[in-house]
Amino acid sequence: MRQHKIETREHLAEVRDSARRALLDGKPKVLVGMATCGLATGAQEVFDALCDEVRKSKLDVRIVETGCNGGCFLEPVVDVVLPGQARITYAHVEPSDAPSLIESTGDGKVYEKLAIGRIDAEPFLLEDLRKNYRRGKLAPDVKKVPPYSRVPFFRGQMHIAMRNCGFIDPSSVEEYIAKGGYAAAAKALTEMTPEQIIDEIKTSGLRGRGGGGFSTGRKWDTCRNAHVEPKYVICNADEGDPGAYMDRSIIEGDPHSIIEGMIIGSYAIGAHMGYIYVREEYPLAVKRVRLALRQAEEFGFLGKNIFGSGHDFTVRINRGAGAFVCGESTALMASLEGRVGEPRAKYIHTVESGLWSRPSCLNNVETWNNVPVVIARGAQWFSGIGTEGSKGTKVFSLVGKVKHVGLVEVPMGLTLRQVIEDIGGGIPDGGAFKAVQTGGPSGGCIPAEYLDTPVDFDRLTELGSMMGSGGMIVMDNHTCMVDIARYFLAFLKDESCGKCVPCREGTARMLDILTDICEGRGQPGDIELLGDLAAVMVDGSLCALGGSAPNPVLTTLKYFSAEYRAHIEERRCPAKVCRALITHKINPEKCTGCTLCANICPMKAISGEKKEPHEIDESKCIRCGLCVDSCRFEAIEVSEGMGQE
Amino acid sequence: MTEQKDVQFTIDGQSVRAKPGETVLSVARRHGIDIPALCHHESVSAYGACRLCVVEVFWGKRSKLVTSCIYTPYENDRVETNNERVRRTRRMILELLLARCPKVEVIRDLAREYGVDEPRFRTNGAAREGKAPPEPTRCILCGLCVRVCGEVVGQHAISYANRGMERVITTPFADQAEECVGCGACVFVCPTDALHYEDIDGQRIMKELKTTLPLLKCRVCGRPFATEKQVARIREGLNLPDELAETCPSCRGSEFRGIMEQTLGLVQSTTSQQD
Amino acid sequence: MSSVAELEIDGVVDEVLGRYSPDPSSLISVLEDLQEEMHYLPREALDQVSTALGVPRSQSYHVATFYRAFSLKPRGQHTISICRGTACHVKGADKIADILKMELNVSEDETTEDGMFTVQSVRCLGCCSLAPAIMIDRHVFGEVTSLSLLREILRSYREDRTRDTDAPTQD
Repeated sequence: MRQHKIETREHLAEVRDSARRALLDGKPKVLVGMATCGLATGAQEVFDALCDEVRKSKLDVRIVETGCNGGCFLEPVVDVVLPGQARITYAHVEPSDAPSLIESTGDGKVYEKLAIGRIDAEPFLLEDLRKNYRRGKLAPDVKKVPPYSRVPFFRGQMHIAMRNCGFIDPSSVEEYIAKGGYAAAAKALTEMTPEQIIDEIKTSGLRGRGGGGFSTGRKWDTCRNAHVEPKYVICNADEGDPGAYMDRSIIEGDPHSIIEGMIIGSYAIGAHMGYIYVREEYPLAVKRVRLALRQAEEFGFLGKNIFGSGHDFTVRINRGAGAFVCGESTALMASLEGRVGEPRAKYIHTVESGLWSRPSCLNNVETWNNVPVVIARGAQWFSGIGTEGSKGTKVFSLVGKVKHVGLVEVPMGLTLRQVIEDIGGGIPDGGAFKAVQTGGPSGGCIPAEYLDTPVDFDRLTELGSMMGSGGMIVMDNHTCMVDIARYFLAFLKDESCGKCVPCREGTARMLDILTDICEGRGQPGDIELLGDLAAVMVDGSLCALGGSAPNPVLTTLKYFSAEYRAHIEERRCPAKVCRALITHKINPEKCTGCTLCANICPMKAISGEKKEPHEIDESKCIRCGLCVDSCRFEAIEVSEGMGQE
Repeated sequence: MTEQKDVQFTIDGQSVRAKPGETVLSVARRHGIDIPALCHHESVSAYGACRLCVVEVFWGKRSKLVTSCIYTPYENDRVETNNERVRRTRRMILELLLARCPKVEVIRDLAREYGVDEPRFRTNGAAREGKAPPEPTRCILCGLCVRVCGEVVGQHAISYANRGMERVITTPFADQAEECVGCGACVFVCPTDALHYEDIDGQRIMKELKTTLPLLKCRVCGRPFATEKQVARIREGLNLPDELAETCPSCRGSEFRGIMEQTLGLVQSTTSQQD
Repeated sequence: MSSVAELEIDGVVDEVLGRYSPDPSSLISVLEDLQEEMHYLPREALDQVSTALGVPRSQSYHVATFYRAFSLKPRGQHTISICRGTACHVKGADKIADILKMELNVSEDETTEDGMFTVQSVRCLGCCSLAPAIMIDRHVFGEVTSLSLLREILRSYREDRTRDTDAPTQD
């Protein structure tokens, strides 16, 4: 159906109102979380089963695909709007649950088996509005389901960047508009001057969410004042930090939010061309952006004379090609130009000379996503959230050894403990907290004594780490910190573009030393050598990849030096991770001779007669741990040290 | 932003002036201050890869290390070219380069100047994997050869491949490069003697570039003196008559002086057009 | 091992080139589409692209060897990507990698003899709640913690030879 372009604020308001009526049409609605992680847990099968059920039952129930609401540990997640009642969140839904779930929904009842939380009103953050689902009294079975304010994972969270994730169908621009989408762009382009917009962004205190934390308003200002044409705005959706997937979820759940932010930014800066650079490892995100861009063009939000303001703006999408270094701004721009992702010296900033040597304003996904919020709700409101130096909220990917793995969005200033223990539920399986790694490969590991540190741009940097893009990887006593340092170096060595000596040679040499330490060949003087290398990599590298590469090593050396000493001086791994520094032994008293381990051992290192205690030939054993996993009698013991030496 | 006027600043306490757009390295060299810079050459653009030319620049209360080959100074910058932080950085870079290229004399000499005789790094990566250690390279990946072939000769016959420690300089597919004219500019500009060519039996063999090109014999003395491709390029580019183009430099001598002068006149006008 | 006859390469390259503007900035997009269609970048394709876009062959070659997305050797029918993100690492990605390589008898970036699977590592799939994870073509499998589960997954691909390698991301 050919869509008429929306060219005025009035028209937008009309579309918003009718879309809102469709969004909250008083009919039962089933939303299935189908972002990448949802799909990986089987959400497609759940979706199909639910559709089947609805068809069979002939009930008037709408089934909608939606993005990720952050509760990844609950997936597959299905939310159901019970008309006149509330919105119920169901967790761990399986295709076999479909009949009962649809039946309950048709009856206006809760499917109690899987209900974990309820939302009482549909939020419209951009308009400071909440529309209650309830008409009349809450039914007793609905009341029994705890509201989000009493669900530990959701309590304490504040969804600004994730405002639409899990609430809209990301492939529907109408639903985006229903939530107040594109009204901020309309306001900015028709009611505000570029200077006013930049002022607003400055006053809000919005800082770059990609890790740099630079003042967004100041960046826009400098770019605006660079009098060279043409100018570009760029969205960095390369999200390279392993363990971080906040940006992916925002793109998959709410792609238009980024486009709207870029429209406002382009107008403020004076750019007419924009690029969204998405890593190629995110195919669903690429698909969502492509569709959203087409829709935005059809509706007239992109193209010529947007909202009759006289401002023209188009956006193209480019994919990355598998290079972490392309998250660095100059390397990203090189990639956009069709070249390899080699950074260049930034003595002249990219806002003055960037893509094709023109002024380029590059911002992260979450940053662009926050822009319409600042314009819609105002700088005053925005700066009331967070801390003195870090305004607003931040989305974190809370992963690793934590009970509630997922995406968490909280006001800046909450402590690590609040995020990891209160929201995250703490360490599972009886483990003990050991460290939390923040800031990706540029960051560091923070030990337990600093759990009460507020999380914002500056506090974690003081500890030697950084907030980075928001990755928060929790580690317990089964994690070896020396191994973690080695892991990050292996990653960085692989991703180094190879242009400059300190990074290319330095990461390789650091990795050599750490590998030797992890494999029992550590030598006195190694720590000092690591320190010397670190200092020069920090000072002499061309870009932040090499410049921050030593951070994981430096923080682990600082806070976990005892572990390094154990590896180097005593040739043992206290966490029992480093394969060369542990030994597997079968306890003859516990072994029942079931032969399971002997069959599973890839090196055929286990021998023994049936029903007789087995033995592991240490010379063949590679300590892969498959036997330990398979033993039902806990008869295989892992001890520190290299065994026979 | 650099403005279109001279910049007044200091190097090692000495008051100096940079022309608009001039780098710290250039100013320093003009004043006889020696700063090592292996990946730098006047004929090509600055690259900032070796990092040896780092200097510390102070402004206000802050400072940072910058590569002097690229950095253009701001008014009142205070540059130090040889303090402890700078030397420590250069020392480590040389230690790393020496570990990579133990047989390259120019690196060994420079390293010794900074107090490095043997690198502390264990280069046993191959041994750890049970493989024989590879022959150490002479290439420091400075890229001068790549830039000279691209920017000066204009052939772009070689470039990098891979990334990180796998990075190498090569022809496409490590095979005979059609774009190579065998001019030898890359060999000339290489600071570590990592590239070579040999003229044997009427062929120029660009060893490391896996490229062999037929040489043209001089019309007069019959000795092979340049590759056919190179001669063809020069002939076209400068619009030379065949007699001149296909005669070797030794034989051109007095006989063709007239034509040379004529051609030089042509050269001046063509190069100004080509700018 | 799949390889495509020269004439076919020509046609595929022409078609892909038609999707983008004929200048150097299109290089990566063109190569990505070609990689997706042909499962690798044949030499002839690179040469053709270089000429069409006005990019020196040496630059195309650098781009093709710099980025992990590209392969100059034919890849197997299915690419198995082992996630090496931090969360997966902490939950035993090393072990999965070892088991997988032993099971298929290949090393990193190698293809099985029957041409079915190529095994590679990727930096992070962003499915940290499902660590350790692997991706086969575009399908993510989470919590791959046992050899039996892995064998089951591989078997499902072997048995269903027509299994969708997942449509290209172009809509």
